[in-house]
Amino acid sequence: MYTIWHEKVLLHRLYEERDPEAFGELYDEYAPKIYRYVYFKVSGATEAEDLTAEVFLKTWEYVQRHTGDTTKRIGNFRAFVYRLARNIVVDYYRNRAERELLADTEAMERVPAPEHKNVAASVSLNFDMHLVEQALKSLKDDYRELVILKYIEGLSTVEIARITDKSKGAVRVTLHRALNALREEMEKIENNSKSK
Amino acid sequence: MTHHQLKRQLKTLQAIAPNAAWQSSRRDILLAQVRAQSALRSVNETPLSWRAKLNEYLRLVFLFTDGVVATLAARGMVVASLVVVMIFASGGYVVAASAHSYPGDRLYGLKLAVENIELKVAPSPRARVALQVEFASRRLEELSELTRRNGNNLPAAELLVSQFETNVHNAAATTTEVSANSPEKGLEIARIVDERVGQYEHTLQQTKASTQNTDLSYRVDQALSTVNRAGTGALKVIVAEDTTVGAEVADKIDNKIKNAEETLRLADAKLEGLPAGQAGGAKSTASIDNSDDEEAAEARAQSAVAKTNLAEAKKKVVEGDYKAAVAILEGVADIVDEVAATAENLNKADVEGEVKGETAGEEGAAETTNDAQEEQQVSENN
Repeated sequence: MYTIWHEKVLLHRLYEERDPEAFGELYDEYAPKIYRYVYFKVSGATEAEDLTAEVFLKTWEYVQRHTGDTTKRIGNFRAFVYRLARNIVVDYYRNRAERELLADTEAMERVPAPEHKNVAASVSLNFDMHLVEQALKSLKDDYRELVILKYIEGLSTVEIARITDKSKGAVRVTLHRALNALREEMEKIENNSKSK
Repeated sequence: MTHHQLKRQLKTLQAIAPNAAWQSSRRDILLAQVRAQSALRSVNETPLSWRAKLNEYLRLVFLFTDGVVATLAARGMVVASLVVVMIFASGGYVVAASAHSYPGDRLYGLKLAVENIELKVAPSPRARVALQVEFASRRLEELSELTRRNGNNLPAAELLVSQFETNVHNAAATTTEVSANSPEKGLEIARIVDERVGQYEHTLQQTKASTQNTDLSYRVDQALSTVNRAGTGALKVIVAEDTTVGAEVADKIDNKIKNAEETLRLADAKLEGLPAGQAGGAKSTASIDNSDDEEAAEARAQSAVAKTNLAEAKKKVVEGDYKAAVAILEGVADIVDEVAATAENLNKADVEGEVKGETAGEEGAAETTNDAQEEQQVSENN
């Protein structure tokens, strides 16, 4: 089971023993998470894959560069890698500032249908996912980012504050507003689909 | 809908995941680089006797075949794994075949592993540097081929640029280290590096001109900076140890000065193009505008300092004092790079949602969360 202590052991192996497999294990744990985080912030799966790959490449370059300097070693891998992903997405936006965020239907195909539910429940589950995903994309980036980190990736408010360079209070306030905004969007989308 | 229901719905999005085949292939590419660079660091830090080198060589051979065989066998490719076992019994046929492989090809990992072994068993620093500059050239060749085959494969291209820089950087570091202990040997090694610098610059400039990807273009600029520093380091050793240097060295120093001046000219143009009070494009708070203005002003001041130094370096070249000219170039390189990077960053378009400072001062009703518990958990994690 992957725990924070196991992560510390991996970092130790990475820095002290230069064990490549330690980096591989960190990649195995965080690649899906970082992909998901990036996926909701860019326009498609291909961009999410490219940027996720860039995150881990740059993480390794950072490790290489600062192996000899104990003050610059990664202490908290989770915070580091999310923060790096955030910066890489910021750079992505800078280069493609006019691209609109669009969810693509590939996401629906990746969700395994829950086998224990009946067909009606499966359809309902997929519809709910689609609804919330659509509403999420309609939020402004500030709100969307915090919702993703808190309620999809499961990070704590303190961790989110560290990653986003906001105060804890600002994170709490913004999350509260973000959930309200998300709820309004979902109600709007549901009402629109019912009226058709 | 309550917040609780909403949070439950958000959790369903945790099912979104990357393609398993993509995740696995990306892992392989990444770990190939990690293994290669981890071994390079060991080579540079731990000088080995010939017996220890031979043992290390055999260990790597078995490690590689074991790892590749296990991987291939796990993927059900039993026949392929048997072929790999035959590689080292075949007299190196497959190893020779791997020499023409590129990132994404099946034998590319073997190519890197063989290069790694060659570095490990290199009999002297001179031989090692000769290998490093050769491997750097190969990375550039692979980059050209990769760009030709699939211009959009940015992660693989960045990996190659990164590997190229590592080889150049290590060769330059060895040059400095050896020349400090043995000037004659340092001079030989410096010449090896110096001979390649022109070729590297030419190839990188061609790659930059042929790509429309701004990220790769920026990465190539960084590699050019690495090559520039390595070249300056080599020239420094050459002018210090070889009293017969003449017009050829003067030309090289002159070209470096011109390149630095051109970099500053482009940076100045970007800095001049920034609107006053809005140095980075549309920003939302006064505090961000002010800090960008300060940064731009600082960059302009540094640019002026660098230009003064470069003018001084030109005088030294005319006077024939090549040592002083190279020393100035070495000192001014950091300033030039920093000015260029600042100009580039400030000139880029603003980002939607870049809200650093936007929520400052926003206080009010808060959602109830257990911050003390979260803080304790995070401090335990650290």
